[in-house]
Amino acid sequence: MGFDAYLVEVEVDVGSARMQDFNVVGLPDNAGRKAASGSKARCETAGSSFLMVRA
Amino acid sequence: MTINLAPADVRKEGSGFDLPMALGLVGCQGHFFGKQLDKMMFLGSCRWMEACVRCAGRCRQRWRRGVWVEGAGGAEANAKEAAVVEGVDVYAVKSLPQAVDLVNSPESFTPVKVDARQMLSEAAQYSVDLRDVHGQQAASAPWKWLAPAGTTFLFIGPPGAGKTMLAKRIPTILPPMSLEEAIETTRIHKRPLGAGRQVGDW
Repeated sequence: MGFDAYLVEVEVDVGSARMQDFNVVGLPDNAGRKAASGSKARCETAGSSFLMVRA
Repeated sequence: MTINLAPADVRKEGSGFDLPMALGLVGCQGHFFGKQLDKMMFLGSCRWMEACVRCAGRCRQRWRRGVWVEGAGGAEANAKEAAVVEGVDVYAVKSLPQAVDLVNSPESFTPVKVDARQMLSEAAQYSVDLRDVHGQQAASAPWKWLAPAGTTFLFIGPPGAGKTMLAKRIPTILPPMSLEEAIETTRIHKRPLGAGRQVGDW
């Protein structure tokens, strides 16, 4: 009865590629693809400690 | 940089992945100090979330732990909606650093609590009344006793005939909903109608 949500696991891998390149896999819609670049921007605007550099 | 959304065979829709992706990126920078994130559920976006209740219900089934809701201008409202589901700790965060602090020290945050039964009783106060209806006996008389029994109705008529006016007064004669019934109804109410999707497709 009713509608249920399904669980989605988000896995992030910072490989050897350039930090500017995003590859979102797993059948995302447009909002999901845009969320990746938006997340990077959010990290960078959250403070200097979240700047996207390799750990 | 690769972001994988699993399971791969399910179409992912909506804006609820903003916060999980951002936290994944932050985690790659080592800000979580080895904390295990697979025991937690994250939900959030920069926009209003439409399915907090559904996601909180799923969280309760799996972890009974926490749903953390973020939304610009809507974090508190989203969290209150999700907190209706009992057995889940819901936290409202308004920024990414706050979400990181929540992961690292959840004991310093207070979960959002709502009195769902009080909300339900308040929602049962209606500004309209069936006694306002005069005439329209052909339409109003049958469902006065059939609506409480769960009969489905379809109103057909020209504009201005009073279909909406009558429909707004149907809930006033229905028995009060239980909490579980209210959650089920909210799930349907919050279900977005996508392009080309008809009500009958639900």
